[in-house]
Amino acid sequence: MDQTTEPNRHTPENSAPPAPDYRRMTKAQLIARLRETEGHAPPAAKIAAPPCSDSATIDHERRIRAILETAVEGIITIDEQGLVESVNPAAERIFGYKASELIGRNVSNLMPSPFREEHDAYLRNYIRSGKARIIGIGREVLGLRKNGTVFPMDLSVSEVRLANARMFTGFVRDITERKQAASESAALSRSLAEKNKELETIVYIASHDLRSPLVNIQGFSRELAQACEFIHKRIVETPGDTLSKKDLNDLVSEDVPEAIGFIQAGVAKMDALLSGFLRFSRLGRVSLSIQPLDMNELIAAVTQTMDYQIKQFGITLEVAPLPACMGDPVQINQVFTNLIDNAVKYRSPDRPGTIRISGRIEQGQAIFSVRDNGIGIAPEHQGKAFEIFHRLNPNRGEGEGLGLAIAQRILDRQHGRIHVESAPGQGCNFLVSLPGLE
Amino acid sequence: MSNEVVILIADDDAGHVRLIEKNLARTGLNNRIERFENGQEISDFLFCTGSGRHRTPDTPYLLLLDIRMPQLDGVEVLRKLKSNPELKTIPVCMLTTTDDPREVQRCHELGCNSYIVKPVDYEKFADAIKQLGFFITLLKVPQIQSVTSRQSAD
Repeated sequence: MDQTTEPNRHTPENSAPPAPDYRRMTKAQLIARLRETEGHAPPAAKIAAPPCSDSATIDHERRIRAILETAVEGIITIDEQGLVESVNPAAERIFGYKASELIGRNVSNLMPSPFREEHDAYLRNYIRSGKARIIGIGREVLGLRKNGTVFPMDLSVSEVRLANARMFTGFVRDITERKQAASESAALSRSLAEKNKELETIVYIASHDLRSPLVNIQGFSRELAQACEFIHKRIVETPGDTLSKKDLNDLVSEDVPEAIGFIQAGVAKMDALLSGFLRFSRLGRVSLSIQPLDMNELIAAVTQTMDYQIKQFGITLEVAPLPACMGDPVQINQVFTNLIDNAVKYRSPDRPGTIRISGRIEQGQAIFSVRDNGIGIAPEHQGKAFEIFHRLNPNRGEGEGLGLAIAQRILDRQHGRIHVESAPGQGCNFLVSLPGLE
Repeated sequence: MSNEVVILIADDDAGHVRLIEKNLARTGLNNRIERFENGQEISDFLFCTGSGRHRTPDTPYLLLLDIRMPQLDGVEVLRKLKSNPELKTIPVCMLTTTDDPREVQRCHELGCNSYIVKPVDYEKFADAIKQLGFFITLLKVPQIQSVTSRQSAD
């Protein structure tokens, strides 16, 4: 279907033209021609053709009417006041009105607010100034069906100048399906980008974090082998029973235990990395049960399980009333457990710890804040804080560097977000946003 | 003041550092070694920022730099170092676990003097360290003067 966006302005020929070729005309031209031949009677669909002496003209009119009535696009004509003059069957289907319900009424009835209220002014303004916002231009706009549903549509409007008036023709195409397909395709490409990022992360982890303990395990195994060789050599080289204990003691009491220590630590590290890595990867596969969450209950459950830790370090916990949101209860519990765990772990040694949890609704999103007065994170390190296995302060407490990476991954899958506001020594304010109740 | 090269090792893994030390000693290198546990520490040392250790003027340094480190990573340290007119003369050997061509290329582009993969294969690792030993003995390591040292010498 022709989706021309070029301005179409036509002045009908004054004298009878020598049999124009209708097949080469644009829709607007056809309509102009139709109206001309009908003597300005409202060309409502399905009106019987007026009697005409010329059989060739009758044939042309039938063709034009057939084209209008079988067009896939909705075609609506209005006068200078915005009153509907004609509606083709496709437009009836798109908007759910019968032609008779629309003819003579303002076309703005087919638009949702605020366009409905603004339309008369647009039209007046155009007629006065000639400045077109949509006339002669194709545009994506919103339509309003009889049943009250709003839908996206492509609208192109052309102007037809008649001898003593003008009219406007709107061509309408319902693009609900196209928009849906586009948004599905966008979602798909987002998830593809996410998968790609995941893959990159895996490559980075495999090349750095997972290889790191192996370097120690093999390196120190080799140290052990060398120690063994040295001891063997001493035994073989030393005649009789004269081997001095001291000769071997340095090896056996220092080098060998050191090597064994590093090997064991390497194995434990590898084990922790692999299980952490699996936990992280599985998050992408767990099926979600998104439901309305009473966050007051959820946070109460989280803080209750962490009560011992919080009391142990004398931390004051304050929880303000929280808005509800949509999310998976198990995973959102995990997010806040990780955040509060971090707040406890990275408390400042200089002052008694406080953790404040609050929330608000902003533009349909529930935004939660977990604010502590701990050691804080320098702005240049804040991005890294969310990387898997990245620990900004490896010497503080246990951990694999998974907490924030997991929180971010969980929120990514639930249309949520997380970021941190912080400065060194100033504590952290972690902000989590989740969809509000629908 | 000694003009012996001081070897700076920036690596968060104590085991790796110990292996590097042992192998440097085995190749006959007994240079003083200073260890840094993350990118921020080595950066503070070189740029004389923060409250920790700072470099001393007139000491030639050589830096063995790991990539994956807490806070500032090795690539960022390399970038900072090589874009500083005074510090870019310090030879830097990247000593890291990955042979990912993109990482290798990135470090070379930033001006690292050598890139050694910490191999899991111990023999290769020892060879790499030996090569590094030759590298250190052959290298004419420039001495960095700092503005403050010149002022205090006046």
